[in-house]
Amino acid sequence: MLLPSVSGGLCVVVGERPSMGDTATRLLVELALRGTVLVMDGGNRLQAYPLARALRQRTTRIHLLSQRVLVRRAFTAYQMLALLESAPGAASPLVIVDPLATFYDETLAPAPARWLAQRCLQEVERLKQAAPVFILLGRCPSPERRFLHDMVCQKADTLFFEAEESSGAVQPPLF
Amino acid sequence: MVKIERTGWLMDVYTRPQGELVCWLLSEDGQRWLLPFDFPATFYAAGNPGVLRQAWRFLQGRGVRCSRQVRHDLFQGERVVLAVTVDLPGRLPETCRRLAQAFPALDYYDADLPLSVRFVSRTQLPLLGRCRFETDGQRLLDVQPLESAWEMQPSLPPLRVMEIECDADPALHPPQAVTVRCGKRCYRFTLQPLRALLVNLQALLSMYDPDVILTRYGDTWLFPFLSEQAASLNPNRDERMQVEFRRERSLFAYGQVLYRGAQALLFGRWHIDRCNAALFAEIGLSGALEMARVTGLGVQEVVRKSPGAGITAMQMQTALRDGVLVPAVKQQAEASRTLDSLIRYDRGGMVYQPLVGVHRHVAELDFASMYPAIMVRYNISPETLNRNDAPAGLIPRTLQPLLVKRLALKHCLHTLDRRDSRVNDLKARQTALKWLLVVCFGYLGYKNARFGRVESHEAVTAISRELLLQAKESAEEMGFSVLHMYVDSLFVKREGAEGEADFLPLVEQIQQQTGIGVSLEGVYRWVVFLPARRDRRIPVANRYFGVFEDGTLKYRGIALRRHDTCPYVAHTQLEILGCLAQADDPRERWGEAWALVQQRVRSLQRRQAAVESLQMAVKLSRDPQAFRRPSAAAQAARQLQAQGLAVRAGMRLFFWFTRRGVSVTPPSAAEVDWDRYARLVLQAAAEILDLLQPAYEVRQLHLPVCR
Repeated sequence: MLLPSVSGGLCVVVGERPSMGDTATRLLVELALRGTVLVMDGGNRLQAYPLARALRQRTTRIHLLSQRVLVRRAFTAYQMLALLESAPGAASPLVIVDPLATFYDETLAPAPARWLAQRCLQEVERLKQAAPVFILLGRCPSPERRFLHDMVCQKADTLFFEAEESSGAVQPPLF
Repeated sequence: MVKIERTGWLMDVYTRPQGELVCWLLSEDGQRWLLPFDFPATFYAAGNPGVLRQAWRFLQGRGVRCSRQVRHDLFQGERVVLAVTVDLPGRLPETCRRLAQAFPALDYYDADLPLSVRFVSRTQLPLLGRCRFETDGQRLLDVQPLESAWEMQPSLPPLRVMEIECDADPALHPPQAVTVRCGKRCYRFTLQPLRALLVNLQALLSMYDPDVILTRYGDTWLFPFLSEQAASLNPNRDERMQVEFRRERSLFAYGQVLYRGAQALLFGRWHIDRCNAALFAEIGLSGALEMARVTGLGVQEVVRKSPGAGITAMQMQTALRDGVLVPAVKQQAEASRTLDSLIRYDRGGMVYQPLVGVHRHVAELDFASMYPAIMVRYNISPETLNRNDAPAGLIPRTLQPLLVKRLALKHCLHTLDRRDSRVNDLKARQTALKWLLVVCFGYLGYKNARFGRVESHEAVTAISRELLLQAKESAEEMGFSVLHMYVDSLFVKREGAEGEADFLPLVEQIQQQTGIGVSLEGVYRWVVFLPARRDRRIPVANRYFGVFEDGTLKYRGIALRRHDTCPYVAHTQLEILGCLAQADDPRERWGEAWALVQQRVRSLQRRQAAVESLQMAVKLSRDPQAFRRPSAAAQAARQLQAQGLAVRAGMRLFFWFTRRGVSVTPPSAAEVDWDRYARLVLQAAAEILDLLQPAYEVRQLHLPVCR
């Protein structure tokens, strides 16, 4: 697990979007066992029941630990910014799951998306002064919005790339 | 200058390219008016005072008027705002876009309201509403409403309707002719020679001067074709306008990929493409007019958009009327909550799994418009969350008249004889309102809803679960057994209770206890709750079929309800149900039903079924290039692409199973994969008959398919 490798600041984990829920679950279990953890979910990736089950596998104090995981969800890019702006610089670690999911929405033009991402990263800079911040970042689905992905990676103090899933035989597209 | 005063109806509003607003009015004397109207429009910006001052300076010399105002934000209360007024409302979007580009940190309000919504809320005159207007012949000087949107029997404008249909689906074959119907006359024109078609079409448009052009494939073929082949033909009544084309797109909504075809909108008359208007098949023109009347969205918009857009427009109207700012983007974020709380409250409606099997004399009780009724009764709105003493919120204020009107229409329908000429019209109108009510709950939690909030959404489902449990307790206290509960309905039975009168005390009791209207959907002579296909021990919610006491069938979750079932299979299932419905217990007719299935299968084996009845349909869940397996949908998409047709996610494709895979064109009898269709028939039959088999004759419902 990545926790021993992280000393503080901003840690970005880049992985496949479908597996992000599992990554978030594993990370949150480790952090919740150590104390309070704040979660901001930008892509509705947090799986509440699997997380509760994973916690239960590690402890019988499930009620106590589930009180330690504080969740906030954003359903638009503007809400993601609002979440970050309203977050106090607390001493607890912050996990941001798939923060760019809503930035890829076709109804959001690239220019406001860039501005919002910049503002979000400014807020992350502020928050990482108080406690470690983990960003679980899904791979960018569209090349036109790749710049958003790169903006986040450039801000990382520690950057992990999860290995892409590959099977022996890759079936090509039909046409 | 002579002033003319007329009474008539407001049909639509739009802006011309210069930005001026034009009202399309129809006066009682039958005259059609396209009159420009002075209608300045305002949007607002709020935020850091220093940035607002910069924004003010930025706007100087750009033909707008700026002022400092204090306005009410639903969530933040009173806010100092920069009000920006443009005299030509058509210029507002561009002004706002430039300002937002230069000052992205400001919050913008009333920036993207549909023009008709602004107009309706300021003049209090609903679209399609009767009005008195004054004109000098060139411009509209004044307009006064004579009717509200909530009129139970609104006066209807005398519309002239023209129908245009082509002779083939342009997605499959290039059309060769078009048929035009105006009133009682019908004309057929071939596409070649083109000039003759254009001359005739232009002549008909001038002579008949329709208000509504109803087409099939008008959006995707007819108007693009006309625009390409004859730029001089202008089908608009407003000659200064060109046809507005909007591009096709695929979007993800309501949990599925939807395809919206290209659109062709007219000015001074409406164009409705039956094949590209989501609800039109169900609600027709009467329903579309009703929707436009209550939502404030133009008829052309309302038939093409989802009902969610209608609900949003209604909320905007309420906000404008009450002086509440409409944010351009939703910014309120969810409050912090523990994992425990998330698990406890983020749930849907209550489902109580059914008791699998055949049940006789079962009543189905439905809560009437349960979710909207909860929102109104419990004052659920984003701004009233956790406030017991709050005045009626914006959402309940919006929904209240809608609920009342729909219930009144339903009541009116119940009092009319089925043969009454008003029945179809009332049905269409109440269905249109039903759709608005259906989506209003989802919109509370929708990410882009201006006045949505996920906590309000959760509050509604939490209350609904509680109410359903109360209903269950009431039923059990009165000696009923609850067989199944599904979100807003419950199925109950009691020994000796057979007629509607036996269940009415329970209806009243639940109504009294919950404060929400409950209707008795009917009493089933028998109903069958089906198990899971994989394991007969597992019940499945909302998968059943039954027959009411009056012989009406009701079925959910079986092949007959699926859009991808071919007509032959659907018809077979319907015949089986019809056969079973003749008995007091469906098991009594199992033998006859099974014989029917065998006969239908034999028809297939003898190749006696019409090829048209074997047409399958599928909705593409992704773009063709994203398919990795050669499924039927992928093969159909590939064939259409090979024919040069554009295929996109969300599109509905039609095809036939053939010995070589699938075919998007009707195959010959020799090519059809008859065995496959026979298997589909058997599967559909098994869905119904498996559970009804007599114990002494249990067998797999799979015929050896052979010739």
